[in-house]
Amino acid sequence: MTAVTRDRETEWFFDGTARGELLLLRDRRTGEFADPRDANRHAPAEWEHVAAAGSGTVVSWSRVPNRHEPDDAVTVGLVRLDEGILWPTRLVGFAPEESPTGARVHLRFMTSGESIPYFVPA
Amino acid sequence: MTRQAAVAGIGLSDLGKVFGVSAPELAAAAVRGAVSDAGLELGDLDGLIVSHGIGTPVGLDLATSLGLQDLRLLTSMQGYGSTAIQMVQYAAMAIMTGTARTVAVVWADDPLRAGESSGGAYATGSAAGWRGLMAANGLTSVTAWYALAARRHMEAYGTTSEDLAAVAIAQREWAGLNPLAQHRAPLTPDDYFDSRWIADPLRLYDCCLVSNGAAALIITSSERADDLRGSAVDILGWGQAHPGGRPAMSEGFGLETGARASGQHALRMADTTLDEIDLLQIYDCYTYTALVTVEDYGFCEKGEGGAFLSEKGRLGPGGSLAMNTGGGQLSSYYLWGMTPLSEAVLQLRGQAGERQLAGRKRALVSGNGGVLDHHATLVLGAP
Repeated sequence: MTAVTRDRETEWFFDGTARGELLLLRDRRTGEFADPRDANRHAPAEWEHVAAAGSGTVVSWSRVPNRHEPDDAVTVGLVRLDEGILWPTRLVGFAPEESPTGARVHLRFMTSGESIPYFVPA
Repeated sequence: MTRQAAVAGIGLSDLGKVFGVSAPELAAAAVRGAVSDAGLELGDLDGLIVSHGIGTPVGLDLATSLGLQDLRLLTSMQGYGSTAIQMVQYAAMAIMTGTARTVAVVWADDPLRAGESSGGAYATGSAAGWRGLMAANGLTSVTAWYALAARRHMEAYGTTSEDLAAVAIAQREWAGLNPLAQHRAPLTPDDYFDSRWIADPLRLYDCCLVSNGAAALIITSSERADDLRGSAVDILGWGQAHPGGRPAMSEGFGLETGARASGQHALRMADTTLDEIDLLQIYDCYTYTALVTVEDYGFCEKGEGGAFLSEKGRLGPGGSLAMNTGGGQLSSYYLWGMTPLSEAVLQLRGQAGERQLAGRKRALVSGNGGVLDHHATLVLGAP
C-alpha cells in the first residue's frame, strides 16, 4: 500500500485525518459542501473545513488486483457521503462475490504514511 | 474567413515496441512523412503544432530540429485524449483565417522501455498529496477510474461483459487486416474471458495497448490541397466539451459523457446528420469508452450501447457499423487521439489496404481525455 506523504495543498486535510476526521469544504455563505480537492473554487476565507459525518452509500466499485500478487485485490469504491459529495475510497469488509453498490458504509482510518480514510459496511 | 480546411497529408512513424528512438525523433519522422505524403517539402510549412504523451516531451524545438524557419504559427497543445482533434481544429482555424497556409500537427510518445511492462508505463507513481491518497485508496491507475465508470453503466443499464467482449473481439478482427496493428491474431471469447482482471469489470482485453510512435497531419486549405495530391480530406466540423466540475464525481459519472455535447456541436457545424455518417472512429481507451461514446453520439438510445454493439452483424469486417476499422487503440496502436483520427484519414483517402471500405463519405471521429473529462469530435469528408 502506498505510504502517503502530505504536500502543501493537503496539509490541512491530513491534519484532519490524523484527528480521525474526513474534512470537507463548506461554503460559509450557502452552507454547500464541496470536495476537499476543490479548494480553488473560492477564496480561502470563503471556505470552512467541516468533518464529514462519516457515513454514506456506495455508488460504484471495482476490485483491483495487486499487479505483483494477483490474489491480493483491493476494492475501490465511490461513496456518496451523506453530505452529498462523491468520494473515491477504499472499501474493506465486503465479500468478493457481493456487489457493494447501494450498501451503507461507515468511515474508518488506517495508517499508511499519513492517516488514510476508508469505509466498511455499516 | 471562408476558406475550407483539409487534411492534405498523413505521416506515421514506426509504431509499437519501437525502442532506441525518442518521442521527438518519432515526431520528426512523422512530420517528414506527412509533408512528403502531401507532395510538399518541409520548407513549405508555415505552422507547426506539437503535442506528446507521458514519455519524452516534444517541445517547440522540434521546429528547429526540422530546420523550419519563419513560421507564422508554432505552439504546443495538451488536451490529453482530445488533443489530436483539438490540434486539427486550431490548425483549421488558422487556415480559415489566413493566419497560416500549411500547418503540420504532430503527436508523439515513447512510454515503453525495452524489458519493462506496458502496464507499468501508466501506473501512478506519486505518493504525495491527493494523488498519493488516491493511490492508497487503490486507484493506482486510470484504469481503476474507468472501471468505476464502467461498473456504473453495467449496474444502471444492464451492460454485460459479453457486450464489452464483442467490442474487443470485433476490433481484433479489423486489426487482423491492418499491417500497422500490434495485435493481429484473432481474439476468441475464451481468450477474452480468460484474460486477467486489470480492474474488475475491465479485463486485459478491455484495455488499450501502450505504444511508442508518432502521427502527423498536414492541414491546409481545401483549394490548395486539391492542387497538391488531390486526395485531401475535408475538415467539415468540430466540437469540444469539457463538462468540468470533477466529472468523475458527478451524478452522471459513467452513465453519460461530454461526447454528447461535443458530437452535437461538430455535426451541426458540418451540417451533417448521424444518418450521413458512414465511418465511425471512436476513442477506445477501453471497450466501455467506445460503448458510452456511441450512445452519447446518439447511434442508439442511452443505456442500450451494450446490446446495440454486441448485436450480431453490427461490428467487425462486413458489419453494419463501420467502427474502429483499423483495430482501434485496443488492437492496433495507441497514439491517443491520433489512433482514430489516422484511421479516418486513411479510410477516407482510400489508403486502408485490405480493410478499405468502399465509398465512405463522412467520418465521425472522437477524442476523450482524462477520465471522461475532455471530449472532442471531428467530422471529416472524403475527397
